[in-house]
Amino acid sequence: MDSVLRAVAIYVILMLIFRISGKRSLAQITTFDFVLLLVIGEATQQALLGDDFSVTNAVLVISTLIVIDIGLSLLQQRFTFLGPLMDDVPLVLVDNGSVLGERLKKSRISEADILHAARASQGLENMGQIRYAVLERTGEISVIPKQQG
Amino acid sequence: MTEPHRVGDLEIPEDVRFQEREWTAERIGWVVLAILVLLALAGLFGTGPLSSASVDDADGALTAGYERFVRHDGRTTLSIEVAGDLSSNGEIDVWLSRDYLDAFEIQTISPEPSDVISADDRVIYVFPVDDSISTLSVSFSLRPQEMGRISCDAGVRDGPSVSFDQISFP
Repeated sequence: MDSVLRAVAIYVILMLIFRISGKRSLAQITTFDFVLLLVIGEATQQALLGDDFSVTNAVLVISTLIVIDIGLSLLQQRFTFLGPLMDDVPLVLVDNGSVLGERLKKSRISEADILHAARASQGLENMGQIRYAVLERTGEISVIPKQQG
Repeated sequence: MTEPHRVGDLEIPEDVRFQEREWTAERIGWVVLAILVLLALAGLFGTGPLSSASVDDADGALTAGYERFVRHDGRTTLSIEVAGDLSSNGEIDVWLSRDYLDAFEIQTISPEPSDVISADDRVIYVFPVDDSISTLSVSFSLRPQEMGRISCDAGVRDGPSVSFDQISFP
């Protein structure tokens, strides 16, 4: 029983904490982000498994997490209002060439971040070539280039 | 292995019949997992209503509280309660069978026994008690070292004894 309860508690708490921390925390852009996620993983492991080293405990914890995950995704299908609550919504950052500064500031994203995404995904050179830039739910920035010609 | 065939302009090894069967298998799997988790919540794999048990001797002077289901390399607690009038010379001697102790690693015993005496088939733990004590409660914190069925015999020296079984999951 304790395996299941621990898994549920950790899942709920982690989900709450990551939702509060904003979209970019999941994107692992900088070394610091990477280290943060690594260390969080370590801290979580102790709480999940305790000092119970049995295979059964691991299987129960993993099964519980998967069952919650699938259960929530099924619930989201049925009750669409849960979607934004649990999985966030995308946000337009550059609208038809114009940079929406207020949104950048509130999302804690710089123009350099947008340009990085433009280079990485589209091979674009400057802001003038970006038609739309969207901060996706996953924390990635997707870029739609201006049409050529 | 499905050979790539054409779906519109796509050359792709799609196999819709296989996909349909996979979806069905997935949903069956979800139900099985959910049942597993619910059973675990009820205590089938240790710690919970299904697992907690206790056994008394005929007169109720000795009670052993244990978990029917434990996990290998996990933790479990065995509690032994002995009526105060079973004490002799200010001590109560509680014994556990050697086979049982071989199957577990003892983490702590609370309260600590003043002496531990080994016999051929059992180990005797000596607990000093106050004359006025009505019930001695001893807690053994154990870590299972074996898997499968573990039998236990426990009792008071020159007194009643109880037996019970536990199942240790891998």
